[in-house]
Amino acid sequence: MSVTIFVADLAEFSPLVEAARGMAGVTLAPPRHGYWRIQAAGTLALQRKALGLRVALWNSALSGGIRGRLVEYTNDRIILENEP
Amino acid sequence: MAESLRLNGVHHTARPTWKLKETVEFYRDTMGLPLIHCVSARGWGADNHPDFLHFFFDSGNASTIAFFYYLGTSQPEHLIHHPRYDSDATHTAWRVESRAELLAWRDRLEGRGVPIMYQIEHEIVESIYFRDPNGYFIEIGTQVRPILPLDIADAELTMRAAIEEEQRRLSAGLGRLQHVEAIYQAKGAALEALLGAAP
Ligand SMILES: [Fe+2]
Repeated sequence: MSVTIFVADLAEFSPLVEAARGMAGVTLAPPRHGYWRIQAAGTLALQRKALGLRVALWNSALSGGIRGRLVEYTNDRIILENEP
Repeated sequence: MAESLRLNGVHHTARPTWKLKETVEFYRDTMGLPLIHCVSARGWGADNHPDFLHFFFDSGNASTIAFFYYLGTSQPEHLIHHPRYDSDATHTAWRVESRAELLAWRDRLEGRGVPIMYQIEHEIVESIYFRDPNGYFIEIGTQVRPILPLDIADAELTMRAAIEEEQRRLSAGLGRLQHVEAIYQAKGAALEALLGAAP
């Protein structure tokens, strides 16, 4: 099973999409019904500095929905893993 | 053709105050909102209703902010505004039409000694926050981008996921929602059902 982050196709969330584009082992599917789909096998990690998201957005970065579970969500880093 | 019933903006919101002079000076002079109406009345209606002043300041676009000043009363403990996130959830946010105007308000208020607590760009609004003499939390914001059809659909999806997940938890004896992760997961499951599993 893989890990997924859905991202609403709204301007303020575009840094998430841009970051996913360059990540090894991550597939990015263009919006359907308004949501991008960022997917990886096993684990997905995001760094706030690399994304350049301001604080309010970092703290709602996953609001599009996820498949998987959060193993870390700090001010600097988000790590999602497969459901066990 | 059926007429649709809709509201047309704010006439007034109202709060109690026990600081008459400070409140009038803040809204009328510091903020520059015209004082446009004042009711001065003998107490009536409810039992033991005190005599009162009920006064209104023009906050633009035909909206007002109003206060009640109850004569001969002291502020009850439960109406003292405690500066905490949950008390501050009750607040007034006024709209300005550009970021330049927002910054001009920031300058005006700071120039008159009102500390700006935060300036935050949220998803759809950028705002400054400050307090009035009662401690009430006040916001002035400017819309960052228009509301899009996706905002509306996304809000509906989030609410549905949150309510369904909470109902599921309550049925299972787990209590109300505790963490936002459960909402993200419920929404992700709903979206995967809608979009199908990825290729
Ligand atoms: Fe607000």
